[in-house]
Amino acid sequence: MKNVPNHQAQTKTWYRKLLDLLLQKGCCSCSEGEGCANQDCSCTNGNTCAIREWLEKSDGAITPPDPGQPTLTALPAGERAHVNQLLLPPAQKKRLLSLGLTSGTEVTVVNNENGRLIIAVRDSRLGLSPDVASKITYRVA
Amino acid sequence: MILALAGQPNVGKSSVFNTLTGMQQHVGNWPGKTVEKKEGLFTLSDGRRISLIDLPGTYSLTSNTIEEIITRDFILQTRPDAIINVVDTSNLERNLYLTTELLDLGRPVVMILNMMDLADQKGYSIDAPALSEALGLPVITAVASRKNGLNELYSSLDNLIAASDKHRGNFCFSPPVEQVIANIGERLQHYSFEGHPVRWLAIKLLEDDAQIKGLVAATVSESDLAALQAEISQHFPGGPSSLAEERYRWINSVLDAAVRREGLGKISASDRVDLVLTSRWLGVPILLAVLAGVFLLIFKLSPPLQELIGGLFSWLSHLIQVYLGPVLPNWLVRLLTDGVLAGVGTAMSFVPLILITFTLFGLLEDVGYFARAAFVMDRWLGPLGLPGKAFISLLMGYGCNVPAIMAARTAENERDRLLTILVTPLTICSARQVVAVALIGAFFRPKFAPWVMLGLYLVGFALICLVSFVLKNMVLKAERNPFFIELPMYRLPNLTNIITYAWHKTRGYLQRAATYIAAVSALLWVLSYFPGGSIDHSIIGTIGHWIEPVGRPFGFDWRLLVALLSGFAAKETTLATLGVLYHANESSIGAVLTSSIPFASGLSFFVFSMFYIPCLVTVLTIRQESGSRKWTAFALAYTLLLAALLSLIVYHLALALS
Repeated sequence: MKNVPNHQAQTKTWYRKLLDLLLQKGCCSCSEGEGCANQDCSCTNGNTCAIREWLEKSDGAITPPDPGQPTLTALPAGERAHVNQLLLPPAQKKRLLSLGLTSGTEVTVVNNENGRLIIAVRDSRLGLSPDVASKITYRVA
Repeated sequence: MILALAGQPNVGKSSVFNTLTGMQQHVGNWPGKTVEKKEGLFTLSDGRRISLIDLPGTYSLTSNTIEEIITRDFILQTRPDAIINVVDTSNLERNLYLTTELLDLGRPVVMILNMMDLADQKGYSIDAPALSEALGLPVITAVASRKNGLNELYSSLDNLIAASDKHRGNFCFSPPVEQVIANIGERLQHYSFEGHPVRWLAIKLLEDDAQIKGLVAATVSESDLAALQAEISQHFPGGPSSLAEERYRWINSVLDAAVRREGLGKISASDRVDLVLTSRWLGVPILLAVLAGVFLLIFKLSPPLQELIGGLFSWLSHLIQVYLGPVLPNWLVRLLTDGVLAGVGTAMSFVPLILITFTLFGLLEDVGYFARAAFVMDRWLGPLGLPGKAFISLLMGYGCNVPAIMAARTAENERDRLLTILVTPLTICSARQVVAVALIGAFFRPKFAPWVMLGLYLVGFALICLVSFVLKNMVLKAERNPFFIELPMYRLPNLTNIITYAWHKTRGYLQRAATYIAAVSALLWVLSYFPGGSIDHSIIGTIGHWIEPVGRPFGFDWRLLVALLSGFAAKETTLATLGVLYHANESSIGAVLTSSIPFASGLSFFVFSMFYIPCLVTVLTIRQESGSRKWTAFALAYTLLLAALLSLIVYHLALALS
C-alpha cells in the first residue's frame, strides 16, 4: 500500500505527536471529509474509508439528551427509578452496562449531594460523579 | 496442567489464590505490560502439578482496558484446561456478568462462591446445587479466607479433570440473537482467526468491539465484510446494549432458580457508613485524618526499626574491619565498609518504611476505603482535569513513585493515565521524606520542623495542581472522562492478604537494594576515592569542581552538585553521598551540614532535591508505562526546570532576607 501517509506520520515532530495525543486526534479524519473519499487511510494498514468508518463507528456520536427526560441528578436520596438511557460515549456506556445499568434496571439512590450520587444497582453500589449522573435518564418506577 | 483464576475486582480473588498456592507463587509482569502477573503451583492429592495463573480483576471482557485485553488474550491463546471463576456471593448478579463472558470464550469453567459470610449478612440464601444446575457449571462453596472449603475445591478440581463433560455452561442469548450469531459465524468460519472461537468473534462483532472489528476487517474479504455489516444492521437492531440486557436476563433467570435475596436494594449498614464517609462536608476531613493517622503511624513505627537495621550494618562493617582489616588492602576494606555496606545499609533502612506503608495502604484498600477516597477526591481533582482514580496513584506516590506510576494503569483512558503518570513524580516519596527529614533537621529549629514538613507537602500538592492545570489547558477540546466507581461493601480486613501484598512490594525493593544500590554505592565510592585517595582528589571531585559554575546561581558548591547527581541513582543516596563528601556518619550528619552549608544554600538544596528529576527506577518505570521516550524526556525536563526555578527563587529570597 501507499507509504506516503506513513512517512508523514514518521516525520511528525514529537511535540506534534504529543499535542495529537493530548487532543486525541487520529491521523485519519474520514468523517470530516479531509480529502479521503475513497483513498487509503493513513493509519489502518490501507483500509478504505468505508471500513475505517465502520471501525470507528463505536467512537461516533453520542445520542443527544432528550430535554424532556429527567436524569438521575434530579432524584433525591431514597428514591427508586428505572434506568432508561445512557447518554455516554460507547466505552463508558459499555462499562456501565456491564456493571448492570441496562435499560429498565431498577436503581435506588442511596445518597445525592449536589448531583454526586451513590446508587444501589442490582446488588452493588456505584459512585457516580455529576457528569455521569446527569447523562443517565430514568423512568419513574 | 494450567488453570486460570478469573473474577471481578473486589471478590477476594487474591485470597483464593494465596490459599491455593500458599507461598509457592511467582510475581512478575505480563510480557511487555506492567500489569502484575501472579503464577502459583499446587499439587493435587494424586501428585499432579497444577500451575495456576491469576488473571487481572475485570468487570467484563471488552477491549477497553489493558486488564480486559490481557485476560481474554490469555484465555484465547493459552487455552487453560479450566477457568476458575471466583465470584462474590453477596454480589452474585453483577459477578455472573463476567461469567457469561468467560463462557463465550469456550473453555470449561468452575465457579467458587466466595464471601458467603457477607452474603449471609446481607440476608441472601443460596441453594448451591440448584445454582450449579441452573448455570450448568460445577459450583464450590468456599470461604477462601478461612481455609475451609479448600478440600472441597481440591476434590472438585479432581472431578473436573476426570469428568468427560466439559462444563461449558447453559448460557445462551435469545433465539433471534443466536440466529444472527450463527449467521455471522457461518461467514467467519472459512477464515482462520488464530484459533479464536467463531461464536465469540461473532458476539464481539455485535458488541462493537474495536479490537475484533479490526481483526475481522483485516482478515475477511471485502464482500464478506459488507455482508457481515449488512447482517448486523438488518437483523440486529438492538445494538450492543441489547446483548448486555440479554446477559442480565439470563443471570436473573439463574438467580430466580437458586437464590433468595431479601433486602435487595435496601439501605444497609455499609451504606450508612458511606453517608458519613463520603459526605460533602465530612468526606475530605475524614480522608485527611485517615491519611494523617497513616503517616503518623509510619513515622512512629519505622524509626526504631530503621535504627535496628542501621545498627546491624555498623556491626557488620565493624566485623569486616576487625577480621578482614589485617588481611586485605586498606582501600578494599574501605570499599566494602564505606562503599557497599554504607550504601546498602542506607537502602535497607527504608525496608521498614516501605513494609509499613504498603501494609497500611493494603489495609485501607482491603476494607474498601480506597474506592471511597477516590470518590471523595474526584470532586476536588475534577477541576484540575485529573480523574478521581489518580488520587490513589498520587497517594501511593507518597510511599514510592514506582508502584504509584504502575497504579495509573487503572485509569480509564490514555490521556488520564498519561496525566497521572506525569504528575506522580511531584509527590514526595518515602526516600525523599528521609532526605527531607535530615535536611530540615539540619537547617531548621526543631519547633519549626513539623511546619516545614507540612509546607513541603502543601507546596508539592500545589505543584501537582499547577502542572495538571497547565497540561489540562493544552487539552483544549478533550473532555474529562466521566467518573464512576464501584463502592464495594465494607468488610473486615484479611491480614494474610495484606501481609502477602506488602511483602511482595517490599521484596521487589529488597532485590533492587541488594543488587543495584550495592553496585552504585561501590562505584560511587570508587569514583570518590581514586585516583587521589580522598574525595578532593578523586574523579567525582574533579567532575564536581568542573561543573561547579552550574550550581552557582542556586548556591550549590560542588559537593551538593555531586550529591544531587548521585541522588538520581536513588533519592536516599543523596544523604549517603553528603555523608561521604562531608566526612560524616549517620548520627553526625545533621550537625556537620549545619556548620558547613550556609542557610540560603541549604534551603535551596532542600527545595531542589525534593522536586528535581525522579530517581532512575522511576524514570525507567515512566518509560515503560507511558511507552514513549518523548514523554519520559518531557517528565524529566519539566521536573528539572520546575526544581531549578523554585530553588532559584528560594535561594535569592533567602539571601535577600538574611
